[in-house]
Amino acid sequence: MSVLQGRRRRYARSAVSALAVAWSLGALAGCGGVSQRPGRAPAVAASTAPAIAAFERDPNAANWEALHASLLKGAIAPEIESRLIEALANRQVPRNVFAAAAVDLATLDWGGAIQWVQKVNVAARGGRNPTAVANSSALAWMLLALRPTYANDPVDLTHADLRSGSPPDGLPLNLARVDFSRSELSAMTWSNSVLTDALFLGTSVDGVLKCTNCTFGTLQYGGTVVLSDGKWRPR
Amino acid sequence: MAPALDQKTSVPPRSTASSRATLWAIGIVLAAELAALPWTGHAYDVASFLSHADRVYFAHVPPTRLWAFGSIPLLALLISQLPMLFFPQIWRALPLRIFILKLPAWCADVVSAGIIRACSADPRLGNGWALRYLLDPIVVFVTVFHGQADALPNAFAVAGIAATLYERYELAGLLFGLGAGAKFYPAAFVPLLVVVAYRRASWRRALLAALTFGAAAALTLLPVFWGRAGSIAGAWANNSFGPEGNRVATASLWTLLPQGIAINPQFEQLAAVAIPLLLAVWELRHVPDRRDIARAAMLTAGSIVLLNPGAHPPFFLWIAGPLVLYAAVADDGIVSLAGIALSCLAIFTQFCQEGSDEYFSLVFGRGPNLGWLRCVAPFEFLQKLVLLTAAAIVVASWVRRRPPQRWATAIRLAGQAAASIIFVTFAAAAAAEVAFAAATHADRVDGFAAEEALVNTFAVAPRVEALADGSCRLTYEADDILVYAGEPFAARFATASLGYTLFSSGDVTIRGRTFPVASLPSTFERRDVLTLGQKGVRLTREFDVSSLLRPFRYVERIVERPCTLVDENPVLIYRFNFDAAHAAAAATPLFERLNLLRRTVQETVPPPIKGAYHA
Repeated sequence: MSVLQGRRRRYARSAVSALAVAWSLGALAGCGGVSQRPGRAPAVAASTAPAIAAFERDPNAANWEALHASLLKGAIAPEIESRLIEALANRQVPRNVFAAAAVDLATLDWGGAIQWVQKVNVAARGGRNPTAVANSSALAWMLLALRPTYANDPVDLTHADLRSGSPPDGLPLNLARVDFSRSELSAMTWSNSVLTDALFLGTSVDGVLKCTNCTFGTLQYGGTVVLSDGKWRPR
Repeated sequence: MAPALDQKTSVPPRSTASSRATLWAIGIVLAAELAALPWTGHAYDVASFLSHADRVYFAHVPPTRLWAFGSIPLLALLISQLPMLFFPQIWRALPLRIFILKLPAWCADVVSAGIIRACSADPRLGNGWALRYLLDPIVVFVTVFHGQADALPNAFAVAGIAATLYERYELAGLLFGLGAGAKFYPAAFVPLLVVVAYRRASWRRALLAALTFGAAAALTLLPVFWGRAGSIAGAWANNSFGPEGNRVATASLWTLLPQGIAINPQFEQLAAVAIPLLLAVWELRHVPDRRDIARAAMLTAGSIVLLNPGAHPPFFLWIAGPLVLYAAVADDGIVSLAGIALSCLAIFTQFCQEGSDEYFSLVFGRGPNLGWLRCVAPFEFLQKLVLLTAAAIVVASWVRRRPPQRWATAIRLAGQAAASIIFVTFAAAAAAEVAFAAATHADRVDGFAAEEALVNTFAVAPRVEALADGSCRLTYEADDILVYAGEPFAARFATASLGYTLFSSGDVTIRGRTFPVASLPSTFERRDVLTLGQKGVRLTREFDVSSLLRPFRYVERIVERPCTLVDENPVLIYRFNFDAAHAAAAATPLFERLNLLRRTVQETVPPPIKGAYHA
């Protein structure tokens, strides 16, 4: 009896140890993974190409919703991004569709989108295409309005005509390291905005560009400053 | 009849010099902890707790609204913050408030240490094991530094396991029930309790233990679950699986799975729950002894933390109690030593995930820190170490053969020495950071005010329904988060606004009135991300709809035309103005406030039934 019990006990002990080791090894096999939970597998949806083509033909709300649904399925491909920006720049797009597209561009690839917008704007400026200049300018301001406060990557908006669609007075903007050199701006008042290392060399302004309660590096200037000859000066 | 479980060493307890020294050390540790309690706290967690008490005491909303845990920590919170009800003037005395907030958890740790002392296999080592528990890095971190109340369910869990060891199965059921009433997870020990009671006593006692557990859990959970089961289950699912059921920031071992192997989080949760069941079933094979029971309890705790798809580093405290209890019962220095490593890894993981800045921001405001408490290795590397340490604990606890006495003593002392050194190092680093923050952070009021504003901003995304005329009906279900619905006293201090990511003009119809959105008073936001569930939405402009939405309702329907095409837009945002609520409370004596509350409630039409709103 005791021998049997002893055997059973030894068997049980070995089995439990084997179970524990197997559990540990099984979990160990997962090593070499990643620090984030696997989400949905990123893949460009097959439906994106016809959706962008339809949107290019007729940028209405229905076509936008189809394109938006396919954009959400994966990372945005550069070709799709550029085609979307060109469609927004060159076509008459309803305001709510325009805003929704800007939000998607900002969410999916803010840095890439602003680069394309600058290129489209500069090209349209040279090609004397006022619609594209105005729309791309509005798109640039929407992207700047959606720029996160922590963002600090350099942004090239040089040589751009940004006089259309400027943000409403009072909207805080993060313009840190944005290069507006040799661009054209309209008269505006920025408030509570970040202008750390923003460049305005040779920037021309249709009127007066002011900034109230704005931040320059570690300095938050409580009053109003005015852009003059590429420099911000107290009013 | 099973042999008696009380297999302690027959040496009678006696007060030796080393035991007295250990008692002194315990006293010093507890005094140091008390001195450290007021100065740090996890910004979000502590602000959430304090805000909850403030909502009850200043806005007089029902205590269970917005509470996602059991009623025991709720009771502890409300009792600890009771002075605020009588003296609202001291609501900004943050160190005092944090001190009294942490006191119940600190007391729970002292109780846990006492239980571990009593369960020590060798009574002469009882003080040493109690000290080992109090010095456990995660115990110090969660209770003293972080300010979470996990020590309360942990104390019930430790007490329940101890009662099982002493064959007080009904008492164990009661204690596990109270633990479940604190934070649900001690329910995981019940299968083990039932099996042990069945194997060591009878099926009647097993049944009685289970019934006692059920009654205690029901009694303590009923007040918070009544009418709110959906909200609590939703909060649990959101924390465990994320809003879409597939993503959540976690410190569980499942994060180590390679990218290509995506296991359903629900399955992961099932695994975390199934292992305690399997461990209990495994004990059916024999009459478990003290060591078997303590080990199974420890592995149960490890499973529900390490395999929980929504595990956060402070959850590691759930392991610490059962682990040190097992080490004390089995005199297992190796497991004790590995447990210290596990606790340290949990703390480093927390610093990797959230940094350490916010632990000082409530009391001292935001600002730079010395960087002495920070992430020291990549998260992934730490998780691998957690896995290896856990595996070492599992294997070491199954090895029956004890090392020679001299080695066993050396290892046990090494564990205590390691815990002491880590305690001193951590305390010194935290003290240096506190001193630095006190000397350099300028805006001390801002930290708590900003965090309190954050935790009292409730954003609701609409459910959108396209209508035939090209407009959209937006339905906002505020459900449990809208603590002011039906609370006219609190509603005075609440505001509501519609938030847009990029506003493009349109009309809205609210409660029968149609007007352009742009005609409403608006503010521009400089908000990176407003969290909806666990999804971030960026807003640039808000329109005030407070007067239009009073009295606040759980379900609000708005028609907009044209439809906003931006996802989650417009967001309906409710905020609670604590400054106004506190000022009103401070200016009005308590009895007058309560009279005012009664009058306001009597004079108001009964609140609408949830979901019964008709546009």
